[in-house]
Amino acid sequence: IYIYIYIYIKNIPSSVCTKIRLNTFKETDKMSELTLQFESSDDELPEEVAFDASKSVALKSVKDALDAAKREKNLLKEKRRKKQQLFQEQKKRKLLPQELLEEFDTKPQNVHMENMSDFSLPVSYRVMRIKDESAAKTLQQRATDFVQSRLYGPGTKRTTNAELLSLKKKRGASQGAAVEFANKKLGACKKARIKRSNKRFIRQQKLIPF
Amino acid sequence: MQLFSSLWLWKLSCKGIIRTTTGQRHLKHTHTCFRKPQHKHLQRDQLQNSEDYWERRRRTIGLKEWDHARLSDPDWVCAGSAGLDAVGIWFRECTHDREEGTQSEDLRSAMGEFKVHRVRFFDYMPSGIRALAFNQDTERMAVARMDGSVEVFHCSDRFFQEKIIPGREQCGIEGLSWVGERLFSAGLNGGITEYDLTNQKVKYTIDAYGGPIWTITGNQQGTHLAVGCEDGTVKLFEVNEDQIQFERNLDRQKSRIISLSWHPSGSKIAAGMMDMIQVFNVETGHSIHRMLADRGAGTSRSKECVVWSVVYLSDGTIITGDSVGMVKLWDDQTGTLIKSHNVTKCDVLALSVSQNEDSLVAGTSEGIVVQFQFVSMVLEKDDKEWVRTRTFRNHTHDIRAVAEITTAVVSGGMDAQLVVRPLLDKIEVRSAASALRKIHFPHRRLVSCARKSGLMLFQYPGHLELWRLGESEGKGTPGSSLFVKRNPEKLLQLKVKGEDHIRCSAVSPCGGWIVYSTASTLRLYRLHCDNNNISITKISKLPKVLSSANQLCFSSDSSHLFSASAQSSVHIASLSQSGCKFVGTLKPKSGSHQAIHLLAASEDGKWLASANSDHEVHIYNLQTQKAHCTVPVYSSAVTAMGIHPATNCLFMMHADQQMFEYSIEQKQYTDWSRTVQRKGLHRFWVERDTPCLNVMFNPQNPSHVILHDMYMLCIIDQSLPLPDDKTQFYNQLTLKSLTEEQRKSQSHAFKVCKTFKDILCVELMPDQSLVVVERPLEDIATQLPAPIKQKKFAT
Repeated sequence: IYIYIYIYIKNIPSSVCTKIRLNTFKETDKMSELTLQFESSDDELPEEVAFDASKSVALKSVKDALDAAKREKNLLKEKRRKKQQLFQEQKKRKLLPQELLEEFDTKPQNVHMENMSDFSLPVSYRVMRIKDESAAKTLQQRATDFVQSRLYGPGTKRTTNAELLSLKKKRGASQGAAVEFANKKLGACKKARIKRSNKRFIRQQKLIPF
Repeated sequence: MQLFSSLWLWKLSCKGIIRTTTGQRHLKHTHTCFRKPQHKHLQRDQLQNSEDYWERRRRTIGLKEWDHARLSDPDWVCAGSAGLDAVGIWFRECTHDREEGTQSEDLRSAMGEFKVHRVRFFDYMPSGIRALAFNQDTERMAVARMDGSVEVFHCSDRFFQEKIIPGREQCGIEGLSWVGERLFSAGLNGGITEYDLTNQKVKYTIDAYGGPIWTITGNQQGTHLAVGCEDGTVKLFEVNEDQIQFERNLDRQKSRIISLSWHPSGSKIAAGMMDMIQVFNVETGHSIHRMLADRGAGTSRSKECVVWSVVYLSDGTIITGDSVGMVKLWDDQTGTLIKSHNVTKCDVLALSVSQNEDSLVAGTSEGIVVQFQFVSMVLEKDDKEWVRTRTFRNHTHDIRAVAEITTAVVSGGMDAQLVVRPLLDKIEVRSAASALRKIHFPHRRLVSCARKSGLMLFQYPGHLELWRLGESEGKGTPGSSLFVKRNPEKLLQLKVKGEDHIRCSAVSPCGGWIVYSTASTLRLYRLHCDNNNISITKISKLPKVLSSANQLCFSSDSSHLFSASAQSSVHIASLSQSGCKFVGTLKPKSGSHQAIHLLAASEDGKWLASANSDHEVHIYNLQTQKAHCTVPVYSSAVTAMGIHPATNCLFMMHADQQMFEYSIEQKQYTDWSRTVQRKGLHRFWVERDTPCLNVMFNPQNPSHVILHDMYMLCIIDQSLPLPDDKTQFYNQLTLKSLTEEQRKSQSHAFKVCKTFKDILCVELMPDQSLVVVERPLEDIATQLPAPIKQKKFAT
C-alpha cells in the first residue's frame, strides 16, 4: 500500500516540490478528486487549506485505508465461510441418511487397537495385546530366525531335494529321468497349476482354431 | 593266481583304484574304469555274495576267457591291471532284479503263498539330528533331534536304540552334555533340562535367565556346566547330587555366545561368538584373549562370521569352525592364528576331537565330514601338525553334529540318519562292527495292527491315524500285483492335546480300543466301527495309576490293557463296556528299575513277558498276578519278542541278531534254541545291520516264525535243518529252479524275502495275508529341508 501524502509547501517553486505518495488499493473518489484538483491548477496560486482540514483529510484517509483493509478481510472471511458451508452441504449429501447412522450407533463396536489411527503415538511404539505374546517366546523365535537366515536365508546357495535326487539319478548306477518326471506325485499341484495356465494362455491367444 | 577276497581291500577299493603287486609287468594295460555300487542295499549284498559269485564265475568261465568276459560283460567292472595273472577286485554292478538275494513276490518255495498288502501311506518323517554327546565310560551315544526328542544308543551293542525320551512342540534343543552318568540338555527356550534315564523322561528344567541358550558343555572334572546364552553371558552352574545350581556369570560380552569349550584342566573356557573367539579365565571371569575371525571374501564380507563350533585342546591349541568354511587353529598363549584350512565353501557346523586328541572331525553344510590328524609330516620326526586326511561323504544334507568315538566317527544332520563310519585303522578284527552303519528308522514299533478287523494305527509325534486296509480280488501269479477292489481309507485322525509328543500307542486286536501315552498323560478311547460310521468316545475316568506309560499292550481278547510304568512294573486294567478298572500291578521279584520297552502277551491270556533296558526279561502269570520266572540275562538287548500261541514259548530276537526260544511252562530254553546256539547262526544272518522289530507266528503253520527287519522279511521254519556256514543262505531263487526232491534236500530253515525295502512293520492277518508297511527313503528325502547346491562335473 502506498500512501500518498500531499505536503503542501507555500511559495515553493514547482521544481522543488516533493511528492510522497501514500496510495491505497483502490483509489477513493475523494483522493482522485484531490489529485485532479491539484494537478489541473498548476500555474495559479495554491489554495490555502486550513490545517484542520488537511488533518481531517489525512486522518480520514488513514481511517479509510484501515476500513478498506477490514472490509477486505471480512470479504475474504465471508468467502471462506461460504465455501465451508458449500463443502459441508456436499459432504452431507455424500453421507448415509441419518437413520442408518443411528442404527449403527446402537450396535456394539469392536475396536481393534491397531486400527485406531487418531492416537498420537511416537513412531517407534506399537500396540499389542499382552496375552498374544510373551517376551521369552519372541526371543526364541528370534533366535530360530537367526539360525534359519544364516543357514537357509539369502546368501546361501541352496537347491531343492528334487534336484539333488535327479542329479543322483543322472550319474547313478541305473540312470533315469529327473525325479519330477519319474515320480508322478512330486510337485503335483505345481504341475496342475502350470497345466491350467497353459490352457488359459492357449485360449487367450487363440492358438488352437476352433 | 592270488585271490584278493578280503573284505577290507574290497572296501578300500570302493574309494579308488587298487593295483595288484603282480600286475607290475602289465602296467600299460591298466584299466581304470570302475563304478561304485550306488545303492547301499546292493553294496551290502554284494559284500555278502562277492566271494561266492566270483568263485563260481572263475570256475565256469576259465582263466583265459576270463579277461574277455570281464571286458565285454556289461555287468562286470574291473579295477586293476590286465594280464593273465592279474587279479582285480571285482565290482558287480547290477540292477535290482538280477541280484541274487532278491526274488519275486513268490514265496511259494516251501513256505506257502501269501497275498501282500503293500502299505505306503504311512507318511513317517524322521526329524533331523541336532546334537550328539558320547559318554566314554558307559559307551552310550546320546542323540538330540530337532523335535526335542533325545535318544540313547548303545555303541557296543550294534548301536541299538536303548532309550527314547519323546520331545515336545517348540522345544528348540541346541546342545547335549553328559556329566558322569547324567544327561543334560539346553535349548532356545532358555532352560537347562536334566533327564531321568531310568524312567526315560524329563527330570526337571531350570531357567538360566539368559535368553535362548546356544550351547552347553561340562568340564572334564564333572563339577560344572557352562552354558552360552543369547545375551552374551557364559553362565556357570554347579552340578550337585540331585540338582544343578547357578554359580556365577563370566564377563558379559556384546554378541551372543554360539559355542563353548572347556580346557581339559578346567581353568579356561574358549567361547565362539559372532566374528570373534574369546578365551576366559574361569576363576576371575575375565576375558584373556580376543581373537577376531576373518569374514572371508566376496559376499560373506557383509555378513558376520559365526563361529559355529570350538574345541580347546590340552596343549593350548584352540580349533574353530566357522560360517566361512574354515577350520582355524589358534594359539591361546599369544592369541594368534596358527593355521587355517579352507574346508568348504559353505559353513563348518560341527567339530569333535577324539579322546587322545590326535584326530579331529569337522562336519559341514554340504554333508561332508573331514578328518584332521595330528601327525608328523616326516617320518620319525617329532614335529607334529594337524593335517587333513580323510573325507567322508555319507550325508546329503547339513551335518549338525559329529562325534568321534574310539573306533568310529558318528555324524548326524538334517537328513535324519545317524551314520557310524568305523575308522579302519583303529579296528583289528573284521567284524560286523567294522561296517558302515546308517540308522534311519527308530528301533521301536510305530505301527500297531488290529488283526481281527483289518485296521492299522500309525503313530506320528503329534497325532495318530487309523486306516482300514483295502481289498483286492482275484488270484495272481506270484510276483504280480492284484487288482484293488476297495482302496484303503483313513478312518480317524486323533490329535494329541497339549505340547508333548506321543511316546507309545496301541490298538486292540478287535479294533475296539485305542490307547496312547505321552510323557504326562495316558488316554484311552472306545471305538465303534460300523461299515461306514466311526464313532469314538474318550474314557474319561481312568485309574490314577495309569498316568503315563513307557509301553502299552492289549491282551489278545481285548479284555485287558497292560501298561508298563515306573520301576519296571506293569499295571493291569480291565476293559469293559462300562469303562476301565484297575486290576493289579505286576512287579518283578528283584532286579533293576529300568524302564520296560517291550511287552508281549500270550494268545491264551495266561502269560505276559516284559523286557527292560537292562536286558532283563520277566515273565508273569496273569492268573495269579505274580512273577513266574526270569529269562537268563543275555549281553545284548531284546529287540523283538513274541509268545507262540500253541506251545507258549517266548521267542526273542536280540540286537546282535541272536535268537532264543524259552519255554515258559518248563522254565528253560527249548531244544531248538539250544541247537541254534550250538550250531551257530549263518554269517549272513549275523552280519545284518538292522534289528528285527517284530516276531509273529502263523496259526496254520505252527513251526513258522515270521520276522522282519528294515530290508528283509524272513520266515524261519523250525522243522527244517539249520544252515551251516557252507550252505547258500539266500537260496530262494535257486530252490525255485530245482525239482521237488532236490528242493527238499536243499532247503534250510531261513527263508528270506528281499522284495520289500525300507520296511517299518510286517503283520500277518488271520486270512493268511501279509501287511508290509514301507516308507521309501526317497519319499523321505523329498520332504527334507533344502540341501546345499553342489556343482558336479557334467551336470
